[in-house]
Amino acid sequence: MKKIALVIILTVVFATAIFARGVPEETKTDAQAPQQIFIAAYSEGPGGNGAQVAIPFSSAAGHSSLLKMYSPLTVLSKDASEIVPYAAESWEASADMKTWTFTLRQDMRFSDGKKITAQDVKDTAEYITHPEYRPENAADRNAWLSNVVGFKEKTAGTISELTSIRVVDEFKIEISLEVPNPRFFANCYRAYILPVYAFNFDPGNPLMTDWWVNSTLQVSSGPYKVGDFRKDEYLELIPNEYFFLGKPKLDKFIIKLFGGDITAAVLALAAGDVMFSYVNYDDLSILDKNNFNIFPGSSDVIVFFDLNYNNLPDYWKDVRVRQAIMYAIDRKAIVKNIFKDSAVVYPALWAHPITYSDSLNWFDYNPEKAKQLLAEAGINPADIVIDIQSHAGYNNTLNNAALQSMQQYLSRIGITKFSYRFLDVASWRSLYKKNGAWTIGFRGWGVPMYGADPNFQASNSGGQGGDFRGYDFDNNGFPELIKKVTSAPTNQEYFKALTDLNDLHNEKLPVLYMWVETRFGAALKTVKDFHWFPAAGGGPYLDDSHLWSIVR
Amino acid sequence: MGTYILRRILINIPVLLIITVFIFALVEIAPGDMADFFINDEVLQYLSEADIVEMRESLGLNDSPPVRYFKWLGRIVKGDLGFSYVEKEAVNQLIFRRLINTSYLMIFAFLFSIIVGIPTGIFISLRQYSIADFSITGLSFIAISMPSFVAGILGIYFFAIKFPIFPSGGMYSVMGGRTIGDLFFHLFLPGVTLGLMHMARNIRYTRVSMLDVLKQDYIVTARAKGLDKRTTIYRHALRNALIPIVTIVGVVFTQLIVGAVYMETIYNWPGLGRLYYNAINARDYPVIMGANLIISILVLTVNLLVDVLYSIIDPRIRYK
Repeated sequence: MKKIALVIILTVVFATAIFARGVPEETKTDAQAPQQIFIAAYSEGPGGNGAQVAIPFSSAAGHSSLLKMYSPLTVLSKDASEIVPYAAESWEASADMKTWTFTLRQDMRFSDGKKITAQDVKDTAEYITHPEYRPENAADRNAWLSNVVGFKEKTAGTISELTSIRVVDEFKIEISLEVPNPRFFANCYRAYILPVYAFNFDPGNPLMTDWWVNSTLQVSSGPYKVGDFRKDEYLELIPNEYFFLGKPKLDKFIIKLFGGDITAAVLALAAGDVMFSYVNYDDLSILDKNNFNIFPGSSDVIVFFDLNYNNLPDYWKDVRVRQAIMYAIDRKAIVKNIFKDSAVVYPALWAHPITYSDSLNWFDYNPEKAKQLLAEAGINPADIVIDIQSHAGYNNTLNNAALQSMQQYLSRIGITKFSYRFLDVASWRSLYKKNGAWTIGFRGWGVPMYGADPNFQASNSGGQGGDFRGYDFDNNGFPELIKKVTSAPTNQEYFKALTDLNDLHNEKLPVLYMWVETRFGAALKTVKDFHWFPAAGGGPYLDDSHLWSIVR
Repeated sequence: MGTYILRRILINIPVLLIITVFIFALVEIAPGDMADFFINDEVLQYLSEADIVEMRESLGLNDSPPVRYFKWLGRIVKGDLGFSYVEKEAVNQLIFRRLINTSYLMIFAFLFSIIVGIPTGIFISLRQYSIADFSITGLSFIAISMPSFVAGILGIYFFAIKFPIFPSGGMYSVMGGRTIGDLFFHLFLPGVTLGLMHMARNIRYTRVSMLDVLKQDYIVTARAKGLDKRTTIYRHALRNALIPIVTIVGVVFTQLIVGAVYMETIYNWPGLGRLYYNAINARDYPVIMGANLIISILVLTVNLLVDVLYSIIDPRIRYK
């Protein structure tokens, strides 16, 4: 009798759990008319921006989400290999490459029906250069406008308007630059057009308002607009019927928020609770290949050993020591055996084959050569201390295994003082900003073909304010090559300049190159015409999300 | 008893202060602060030293640590836990909302561990050395040894992926009706996996305690004077066997909070544990301190309640 009672109780508990969930609206609606609902973990992974999923000009990442709500002047192509028109259908530069005129499409409207004009571009620029405007990350704003005449004065509050940004006519806007930039259009792919006229908050508080996620206030210039938002849970987007490429086919585009935890997102994907997520290579195995399309692509993020010459012993300034370390580590074996070929070794800073010359040294594994170089430099391997601090973003099983194998490789040439530790974000940034707190960093840096700062690891300021690493780039021939890169008027000349810069980088070896990881996204096969690419920071890249649909 | 409770409450006040000082010092020792979290590499190049000082000022980071602590304490007295610049929300409101969510998880896990654990412990104690005893004891050892996050991932793998009975995470269905049923449906898997270890421990404790009590003379006497087996077990044996179980309730509460940090991350449950974890990463002082304060108050309160409950269950115990 008691046994029967126990069985009944347990059955009731389980049955309640399974059936008492109620009927969600989705199901009710399905019964009436099938809806096209796409649910994705779009804000997770390296290209996502977590909870700040809906605020442009506030983070260097999350652009695949932002493109759903706001239209930039230009955009990356589908594979992020070039810049293509978007809100601006064409552009032209003056002969001195200092004045750029962008011609906007004439069929664009905000989600409230108001026509999008050149004045909206100017208003956006004025808004994000307001002296009180203080985003957490100004990289996108600065990439677009920091070279514009009057930028410093406007952001400092000494002038009230950027007269260098001029509305020529309803659909033409002219932008004047401080210095010539033949590739200024490539600085505009994160220049989203915002409905400044609809803002109901002070410029100083873009992150403190709920305007961006409030369905009754938010106005969109992209394919979708905000339909609903549940903090910590999801952002629901609904079609912008005025979108210039056509009304989206999806009825709802739901960005489920996972608080930055990729594990939870991947498990939800495997369970079918979301239809797309960024996926780590070692998580791919849990996905049923029959149900998912995998989207691989180069991360454009170089992983390298960052060297702080301010703190390292002087012998590190001898290029032979750095070359010896490179020869001592079998990067190809690490990539093959640990990363299972989901990464590739690269020879120099700009890790794009189009910028590789035949003369590059790939530092293939050669421990004897390593020993010989150290002997020539007069360094006893036993005296070399390698103390690595690793960025939080690289704290994963694969990189941990890779660092362990590096330790073994280096011990084969007699370098035995090897240690490493992973830091959390705040510790990492704190140590990196305070000179003297680190010697060797294990980190990554996004070097997409467009948008990356050529000064990074190639100038004494390093694009980071001050002599950050103590390497004398200025007297090693880098400034001339950077000038060539920034002033290249055509793609061909741009690639040639980057090739020359790569050659110099490869020869001087100011940092130690490791590999570029392939990144993966996975989407259920039921999502038709879906496109995803692991562009740095999420792009934005052309993904035609207005064409996506769900096949039942 | 009233005096005892009052005295315990008064003792808890300095204990609470010591805890907050300790946590504040720990966070202070860790490298980096909230400004480091906000001022990343990309922003740094466009900020002057004055901008950084201004940002630190607005975040209240320019004061010395003792001044900041006492300012925080001053606000606490007024019932203000501060403002989270990371979450962009008042900490009171933030913690309250997240605590409610976590409490669902903890209460479910706690009840599950009691409702399943204690009867199962009684069941096998009455069948010592049977197949059921060996099987359940063996499984209990596995469950006790298994960390919450492993149980959580296995739970999702088997019951959300391989046999998709339950959702893989979240608190409600996206676009769902946000009904109690929907909440319960989402709560079941994280709740069970969070409570699994504690359920297993309850089984073990109850079994051992019952076996111990069942051998006592007063149980033999009770049976000898003619009481039926059922009354003997449930009225005399069980009540005494439960005493050690009650003592571990306070510990269970603390462990449930710790377990919730993992569970909420794995199951994407928007609770206090996940908030706390993210706050530590971001050096979000107001949230770290606020969450610690609330958790400490809860733990101290539960410990006090356990002591009171202890005296109710065992009349021999009297507090002075």
